[in-house]
Amino acid sequence: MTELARKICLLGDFAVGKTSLVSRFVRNTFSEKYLTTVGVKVDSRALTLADGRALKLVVWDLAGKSELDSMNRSYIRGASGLMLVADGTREASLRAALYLWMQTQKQLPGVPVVMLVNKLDLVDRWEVSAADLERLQQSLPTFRTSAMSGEGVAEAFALIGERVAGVAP
Amino acid sequence: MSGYEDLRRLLLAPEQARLDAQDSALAALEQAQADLPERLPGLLEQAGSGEARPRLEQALAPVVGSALGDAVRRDRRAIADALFPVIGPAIRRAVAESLRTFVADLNRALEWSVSPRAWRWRVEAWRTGTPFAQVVLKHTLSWRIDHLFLIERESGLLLYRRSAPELAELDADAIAGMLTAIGDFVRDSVGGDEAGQGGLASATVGEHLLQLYEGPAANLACFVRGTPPAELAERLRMALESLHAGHARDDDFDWGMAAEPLLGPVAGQRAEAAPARAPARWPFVLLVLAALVLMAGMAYGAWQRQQTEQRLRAAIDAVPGWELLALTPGPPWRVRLLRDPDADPLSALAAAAAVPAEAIVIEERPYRSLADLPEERRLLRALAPPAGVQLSVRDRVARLAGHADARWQAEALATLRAWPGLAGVDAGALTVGPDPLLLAEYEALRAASGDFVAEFARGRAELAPAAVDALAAQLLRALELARMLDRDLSFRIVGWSDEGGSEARNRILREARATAVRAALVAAGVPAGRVLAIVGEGPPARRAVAIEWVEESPR
Ligand SMILES: Nc1nc2c(ncn2[C@@H]2O[C@H](COP(=O)(O)OP(=O)(O)OP(=O)(O)O)[C@@H](O)[C@H]2O)c(=O)[nH]1
Ligand SMILES: [Mg+2]
Repeated sequence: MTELARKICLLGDFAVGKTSLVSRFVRNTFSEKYLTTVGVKVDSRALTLADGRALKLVVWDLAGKSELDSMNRSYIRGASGLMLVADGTREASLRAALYLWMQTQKQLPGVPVVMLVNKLDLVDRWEVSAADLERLQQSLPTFRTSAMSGEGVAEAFALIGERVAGVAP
Repeated sequence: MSGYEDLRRLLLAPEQARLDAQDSALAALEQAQADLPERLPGLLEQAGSGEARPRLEQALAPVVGSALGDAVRRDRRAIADALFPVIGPAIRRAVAESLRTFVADLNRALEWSVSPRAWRWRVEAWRTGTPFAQVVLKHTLSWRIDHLFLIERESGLLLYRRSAPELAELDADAIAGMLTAIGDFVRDSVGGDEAGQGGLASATVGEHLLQLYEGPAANLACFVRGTPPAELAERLRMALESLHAGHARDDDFDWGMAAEPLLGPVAGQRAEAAPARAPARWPFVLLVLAALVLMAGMAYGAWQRQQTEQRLRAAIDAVPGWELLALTPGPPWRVRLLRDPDADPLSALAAAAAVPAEAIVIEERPYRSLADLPEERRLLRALAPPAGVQLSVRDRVARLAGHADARWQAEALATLRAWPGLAGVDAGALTVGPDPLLLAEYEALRAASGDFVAEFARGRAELAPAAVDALAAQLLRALELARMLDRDLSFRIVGWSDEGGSEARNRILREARATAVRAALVAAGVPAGRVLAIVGEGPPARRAVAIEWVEESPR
């Protein structure tokens, strides 16, 4: 197919809001209900890149895990980019996301990565401090997002889109 | 300088000569081997065709074997890529072979089926020289490809896609990804890690048959509706193999461009064989008709049930003292209700609602209703009103009418006032004392019976037949009225004579006459205890009897 398409994967601990971010991005919907993802759910959405090209972003929403198991290893095969998702109200989920990223390094060396620290609407309950975010931002693009309000979501996906468009699948 | 050279030559001359000779021999040898690469194929051909062949094979076998094994261990994927286009056709041939046997078996099985259609196909098979089974398959299979996806094996990204134009748009990219994920999942959980091993080959997805053809670099997913012929799978596999062959040759291989000429025509394929469609329509029509009949039947049934339910409700409603609690539609209809013991019996329900009695199951619980009719029945039993009194209950008001004696009236009114649930008592139409009409009739009868004369012949006591009939009727009625008026009535039959003669003789005659009338009255039904025959005392008067009423004072 001549159309440009890239696969990206969402990684992060359970219940951090991966599925919610995808449904905000793809369908612009949000639900309070928590239905944990089993295995993987694939969605897609077309993006227009800054240079005017169209990009089909195929988003693989992986079940939340704190460890990359063999199943997830086969799911991230062929991914051009990664989205790490953490829950701002759970400090541990940030470390889990970074740990997952580390585990993908051998399989996906040097693919573009963005970090989403989610649940910005609950910012007064955040355990992740501004200083931590500052430091994080130095090593990888970090977005503060809310799947609930939609804040930051489009920007994060747009950036990963730009980044993966230049990478061979 | 030359002195040194001379000295060296002197010292090492023999040595040098040998070295020079070896050098030139080496050069000659190198010269001779320079064209070995060109000559090797020829040499091998020569060796392969001649007597030396077994030796060559023997010599090469262990080397080639271990080298191949090594290569497979080191780079399995590359070998698989290389072998895929080669192995594919071989497998296909095997499948085609087994299919041919299957068709032959089917042929034998079908040989015996006879129908006009089967005969037509038989003729076609005979005409075209194809096996009968194949003709049958061709005519009976109806199928189409709805979607055809070529999916990059590793990333699950869509390389090429064709969907039937009339279908609703779907997110093919997401589906391709999910298919890949599912394939990975199946492979991971079932085991096996290489192309075409342990993966998902087919599945049913709704009305679709999903067929997956796996290649080393790309998979084909085909959503088919109906039963596709075996050739379809063959064509798809072939297309996938030649795509892979192209991919292996070309580093900048464009899957999409290459796929169009190969897969485009296949994707458009479908078979809705005209002969298969015509007969396929009437079962559908029948099905629709059957569904319509069924629906109509169901609607009628529902309507009928509704009617029955309405009738049952109305019938229960109409009877005072029946109170419906629950009605479960049937049959059997389950009726749970309260029934006043003084209301009509429930055996009347079936007839009233026009429902067969066996179609109703009644569960009855007793209760006391305040409805007029059962209350009236209860009051009648409790008060036992005398003959001249009418008791009725209307709108929960008890009404007394007629004539009763003072004692009964007092008791009745006391009971009625204490009766729970009554809204009022209306005794305005009740008069105390005997009913004047009854009294008048009673007195008229007394007068009439006083006029009774039974004439006798001189000196005789025989009564003319039917002489007392009218009298007997009067006396019976009088007794009835007396009971209503609460009087104790009896009669005396007094015998008389007008003849001269001895007093003793007259006495006998008078007694005989009174006795004869009494006997006739008793014979006509007047209770014997209520009539007494006596002898008139006194001078001769007339040859007759007289009726006297004897009343005891009211009880
Ligand atoms: N307040 C708030 N809640 C959120 C947000 N994003 C997700 N949630 C809630 O968090 C819960 C988990 O969300 P999911 O999107 O299902 O989480 P997940 O990461 O996909 O979880 P797994 O599939 O189990 O890995 C749900 O109840 C969401 O409604 C957010 O931005 N703000
Ligand atoms: Mg999820």
